[in-house]
Amino acid sequence: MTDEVLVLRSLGGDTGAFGEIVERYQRVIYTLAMRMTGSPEDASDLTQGVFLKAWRGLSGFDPHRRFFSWIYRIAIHECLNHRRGGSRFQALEMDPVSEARGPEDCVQGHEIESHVQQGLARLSEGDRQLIILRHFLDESYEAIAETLGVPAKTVKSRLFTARQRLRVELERRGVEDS
Amino acid sequence: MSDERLEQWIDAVLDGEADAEEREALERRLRADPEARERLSQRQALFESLRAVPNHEPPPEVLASVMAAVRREPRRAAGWRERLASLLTPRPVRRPRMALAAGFALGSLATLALVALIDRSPRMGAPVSGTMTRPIGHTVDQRRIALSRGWIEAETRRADSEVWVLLRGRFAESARIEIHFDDRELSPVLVVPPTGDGSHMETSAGRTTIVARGEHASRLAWRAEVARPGPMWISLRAGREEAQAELAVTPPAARE
Repeated sequence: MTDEVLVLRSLGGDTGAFGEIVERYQRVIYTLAMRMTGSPEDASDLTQGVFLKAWRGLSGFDPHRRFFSWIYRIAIHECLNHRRGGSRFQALEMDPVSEARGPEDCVQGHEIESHVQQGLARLSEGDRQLIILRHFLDESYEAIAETLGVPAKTVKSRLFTARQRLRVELERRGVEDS
Repeated sequence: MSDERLEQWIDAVLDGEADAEEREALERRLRADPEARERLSQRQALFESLRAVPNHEPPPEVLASVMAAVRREPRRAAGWRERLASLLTPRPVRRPRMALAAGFALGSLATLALVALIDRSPRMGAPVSGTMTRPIGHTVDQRRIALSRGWIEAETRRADSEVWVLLRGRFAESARIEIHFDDRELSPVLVVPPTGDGSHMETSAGRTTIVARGEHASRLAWRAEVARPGPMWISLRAGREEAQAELAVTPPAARE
């Protein structure tokens, strides 16, 4: 079922339809919050808050736009408010070893993650959002352009600059060949 | 070519967003220039570092707690929408035999009429020129009626046994919209009312009336189960004097 159908059914009071929306988008919102805050606990709280805000404001969704773009704006607003509220970006806390990876991969993955997270925290809000949208949410230039309300060419050039800055940050932290 | 330009091309290729011209130019440069190959290698390392960051799944309690909160906190308008939905659920039709006969005499066409009464003299609207990209089923027809003090766009979409009527509009003052339908063929199951203060809607047998009192109304949606496939039409009229445009609910081929 498409996002719009789920939204319309949710507007009609169908909480089950809204549950499908949550299932569909919780991973991307959680990933966004995780990369914006660096804290699994904060990301979890923020994800819940984002979906509650979405539920309350669902009638404001414009069906001519992608649902992701709409909920992304709510999410990014929540993340920035969270930061202004006193929490600072922090290095990622280690979480249990993933079963899908071997222990060595996990240690290496967490090490890289910690460096990347610290590097992201040093970037401007705009640069960080671009890196997250492209590399962690796998959005195309065109989709990022719609979400951020800028031309795709601008996305391309800003993304290049954001990567240059991230690369400098990673080099400072000794991430090889970056 | 500057190093920055080269790296932008490399980024576009690694992102899978380069056009053919960029790809060819980069390939030529890579074949001829060891420095360019070194740049590519560095850029690939950056992409690999980002790709190596593990994915995190949201904890299972996120979904559970969101849904618990949502059920505890229905949206403000949900209550009356649900009441409205119950009013719109299919019910036995009790009509005098004469009326029934008259209905059949009018033909087997189920008539779905959408009437927007705004004010001023009517003007027939032109078909919507742009493509509306809503992904519910497929578009059957769409029309725009422009008025001196507002406009309305209507689109019919079919998805299996459902028909949707999607409306967008902007009105300088109150607008009254009526949807007339033959409830032997259509069973309305969902109406999303207009946004804005003072908006309300009512339904009675074969008719849904929407009054949008806000500055503008948008995203009105009306959905019905189609009991019998067959030719159906929507007509739009606006203003007391009435302006109208017909919208097909089934494709022309299906009506023949």
